[in-house]
Amino acid sequence: MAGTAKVGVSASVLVAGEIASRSVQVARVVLPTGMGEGVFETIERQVKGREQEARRSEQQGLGDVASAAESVLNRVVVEIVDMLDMEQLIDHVPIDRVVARVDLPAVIDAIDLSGVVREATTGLSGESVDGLRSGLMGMDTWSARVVDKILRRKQPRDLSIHTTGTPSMGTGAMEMLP
Amino acid sequence: MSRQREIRNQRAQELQGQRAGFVSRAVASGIDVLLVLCVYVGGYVIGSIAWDLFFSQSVAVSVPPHWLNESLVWVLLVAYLTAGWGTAGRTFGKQVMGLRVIRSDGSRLRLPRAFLRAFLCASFFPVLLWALLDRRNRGLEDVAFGTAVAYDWFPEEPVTLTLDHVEAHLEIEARTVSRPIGS
Repeated sequence: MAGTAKVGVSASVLVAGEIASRSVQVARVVLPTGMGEGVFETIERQVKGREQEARRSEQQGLGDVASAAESVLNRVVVEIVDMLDMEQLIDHVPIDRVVARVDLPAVIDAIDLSGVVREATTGLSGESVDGLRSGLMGMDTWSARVVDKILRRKQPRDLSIHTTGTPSMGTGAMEMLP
Repeated sequence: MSRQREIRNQRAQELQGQRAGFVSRAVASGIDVLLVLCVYVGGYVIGSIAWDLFFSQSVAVSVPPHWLNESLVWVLLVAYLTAGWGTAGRTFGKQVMGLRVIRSDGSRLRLPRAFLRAFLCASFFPVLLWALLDRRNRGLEDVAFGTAVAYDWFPEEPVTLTLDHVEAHLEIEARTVSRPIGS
């Protein structure tokens, strides 16, 4: 309400300013040249200042009114939706026709469903295999430790491979492209 | 997109490229033997039924003599292990366990050595037990043929050779060949 009042006042000020400005112009034409020039300039300056102030106030008032209207509209919509019987509404909506309009292959293409499924399955199977390998790796270490203890070995096992030839670890296979 | 996955277990990460222990190797060998047995039995049954369907009045799966079964499984196992170790360095069982068979100097295993190793392993399984006792996790087959089995969970992407690579390689070869003797 305050916003609406502000807009009304600003509009009145703008109208009054416009009238004053026009009156000064008329007076300048009617009166002899040079007469009352200082007074007119002062009036015009004052009117301009008031007009600028009124415009600022008007803009602010318009913003307030818009947000107030939005708030009221939201409340009204929520109230109306609450009053509706959704079951009945859904019964009356032609869902089949809506679904028929949807381009499902395009939607699926956009989602890259196959990529999602591939990533998920690869991740799951990969993690379970990693778990199995890690478990057996632990048993490797444990069994070696038990045997070393029985044989009363003090030094840990040397598991390193001293590479001198063409490395084969992690090189993978080579393939030719035309 | 890289096929490489991150190894979350830190201990497993540290052991990549190191000699694998007895348990992993035994499980991998077990998977291989099981696979060969399944292939043999499946192949024999399907082959036998198919033969009867086309050339016999009734369908029946006869049991061949034991010596024949054992010999055929042995031949199949030797061929399978040789092919796996001599090419990719791993069989299906070793692929599952993330292991690779290499020479003890880290280089790739060739077919003749792979065949000898496969011959020994298929003939006498307990050679692997030596890996429990050996200080470097070597089975008797590794000691005999200078091989090693290493943890290698994720081999790198295959190296793709383009014509540019080949041309560059040929240029280096040509320069080497054309160099005067004694220079």
